[in-house]
Amino acid sequence: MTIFKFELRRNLKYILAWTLTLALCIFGMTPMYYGFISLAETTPLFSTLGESDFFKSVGVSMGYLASPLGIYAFLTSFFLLAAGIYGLHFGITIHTKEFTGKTAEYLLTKPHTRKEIFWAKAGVVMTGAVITGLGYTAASALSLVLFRDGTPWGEFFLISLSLLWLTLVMAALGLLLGVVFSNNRNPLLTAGLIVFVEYCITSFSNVIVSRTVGYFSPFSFFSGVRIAQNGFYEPDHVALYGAMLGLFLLAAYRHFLKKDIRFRAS
Amino acid sequence: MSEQIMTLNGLTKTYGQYRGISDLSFSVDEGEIFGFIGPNGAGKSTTIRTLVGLIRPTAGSASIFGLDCQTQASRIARDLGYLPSEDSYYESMRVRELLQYTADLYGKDCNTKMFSLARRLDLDLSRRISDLSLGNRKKVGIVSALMTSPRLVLMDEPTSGLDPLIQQAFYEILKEENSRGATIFLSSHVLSEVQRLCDRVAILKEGRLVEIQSIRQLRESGYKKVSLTASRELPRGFFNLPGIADYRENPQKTAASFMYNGNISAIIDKIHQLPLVDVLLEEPSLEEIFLHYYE
Repeated sequence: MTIFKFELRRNLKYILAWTLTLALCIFGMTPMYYGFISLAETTPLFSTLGESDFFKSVGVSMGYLASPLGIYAFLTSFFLLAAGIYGLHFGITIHTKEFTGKTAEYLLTKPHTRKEIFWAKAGVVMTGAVITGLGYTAASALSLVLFRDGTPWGEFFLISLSLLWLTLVMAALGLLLGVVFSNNRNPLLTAGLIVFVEYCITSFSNVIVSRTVGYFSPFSFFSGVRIAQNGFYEPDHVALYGAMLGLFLLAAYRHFLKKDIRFRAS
Repeated sequence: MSEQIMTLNGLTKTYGQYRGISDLSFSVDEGEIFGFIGPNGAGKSTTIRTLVGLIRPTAGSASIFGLDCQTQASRIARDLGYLPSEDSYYESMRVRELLQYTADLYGKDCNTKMFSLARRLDLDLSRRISDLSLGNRKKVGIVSALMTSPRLVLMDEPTSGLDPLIQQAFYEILKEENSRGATIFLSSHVLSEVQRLCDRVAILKEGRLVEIQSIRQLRESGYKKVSLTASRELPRGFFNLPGIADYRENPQKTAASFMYNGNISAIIDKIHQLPLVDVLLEEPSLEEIFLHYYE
C-alpha cells in the first residue's frame, strides 16, 4: 500500500489533468455539436457527408447521427483516441520513469516483492483510468442533462463507459510495453504511434466491413451504432476485450518478475 | 567461529557473449568488514546487483542470511542496507521526503538515526534531490542505507564524490555500525579505503576471483619493496634474480626500486655487494600489491 499511495500521489496531477481536459472538452463540445446537427436535416452537405467513407470509417451513419446519442457517440469515437494515448502513455511511463531516472535500483532493493511493486503500479494506472473514465461519463451526463432532452441512459452509459474500458485495455498494453522496453525514452511517441495505427485498423475494418480486421484493434469493440442496434457490447468483442486485458496484464507481470534491472548508459 | 552471513556458489552472469562475472565462490562472515576490490569493469557492481536480486544469475547461486538472493530478495532486504554506485532518486522530492519514503518502505520509524546521520554527514534535508551535487546525492544514499540499522550493509563505491572530511565521518560511521554488529560488504577501487576499513578482501579481475585474503595476509604475502641508491652505476642485469618484479631504475642508473618476493637474506647479500648510499626495505602499499595481481 505504501508504494500504491506514493505512486498515486506522484501521478495525481497527470491523472487530474487528463480527466479535467477530457471532461471539459466533452462538456463543451456536446451541446455545440448537437447545435450543428440540427442544421443537418436542411443542409445537403451533411447528408452527403453522412453517407461518405469518412463517417463509415468512424463507425457512424447520417441516420445514426440523427439519433438521440448519435452525435455523442461520434464525439466519443474521437475522445477514444485521446483516452487511448493517455492509457498507453501512463502504462508505459509508470515503469520507464523508474529506468530512465534510474530509480528502479532504489525501489527494487527495498523489502517489497516484485509482485507487490508491479500490482501497486498497475493499480495506480488502473485507478487513474477509472478516475478519468468516470470523470468523462459524469461530464457527459451533466452536459446531456443540461442541454438535451430524451437521452436513453442505458445506451448512454454503454457508450460513455467505452472510454473507460478502452483506457483500461490500453493501460494494460502500456504496462506490458513499459516492462518489456523499460529504457524507452520516447513513451509519448510510442503511445501516439500505436494508438494511431490501432485507430487506423478500426477505420479500415469499418470501410471494408471486415469484422476480422477489427479484432486487431480495441477501438473496434466500442461502436456506438452497434451498441444502439444490440443494446449492449457484442459478445465476441467482450470476450476478446477480456482476453486482451488479462493477457497484457499477465504477460507484463510475468516479465516483470523475471527481468534484469539494467539501465541504458546515459 | 562466526556464522556466514553471505555465501556465493559459482555465481556467474553473462550478457550474451559479453563477460559479466564468472564462477564466483566465497563467503562473508557475520560481523566482518569485507572489501571487494577490482578495477572498473571487473564485475564488482554486477556481483552486488546480483546479490540484491536486481539481476538474475546465468549460473550458480548466492544466499544472504541463509535465504536465496533471487527468490527471497524482498525478505533479505528487510535487514539489508544497499548503497548503489550511481545514486539516483526521485528528482522532484526533497531529501526529507525521500528518506521518509525509505522508512515507510521498511515500515520503520527511523527519524532519530536519520537526523543523526544527516547531521554528521552535513546533509541538508530540506533540499530538493534535483538540486543536489554528486557528493550530496551520495550522502542521501548513505543515510538511506544506514538509517534502518541493517544487519548487512552492501556498498558499491561508497566514497566516490565525497570530500575528504565527509569521507572521514563516513568511515567513523561505518566502524560504529560494525561495532553495533552490522556486517559490511564494501566494493571499491580505492585501496587505501579498503586497507583502512576491511578485515578481509576479495580481489576481482575480469569477472573472476583472483584472491581472497585478510588485509594482514595480503600485506605479509612476502613482497617487500626495495629502494636503493648506489655511488656508481648499477651493473647491467645485477638484479636479474627470481622473485623480483616491477624493477625500475633512474636515468643515471644509480638508483633502483623493485618488489621482491623470496629469500630476504639472498637479496640483502646481493645489495651488500653494491657501494650503497642509501637503502630502504619497506612493506609495500596495498596499491602496489594489488597492481601485482593485475600484471
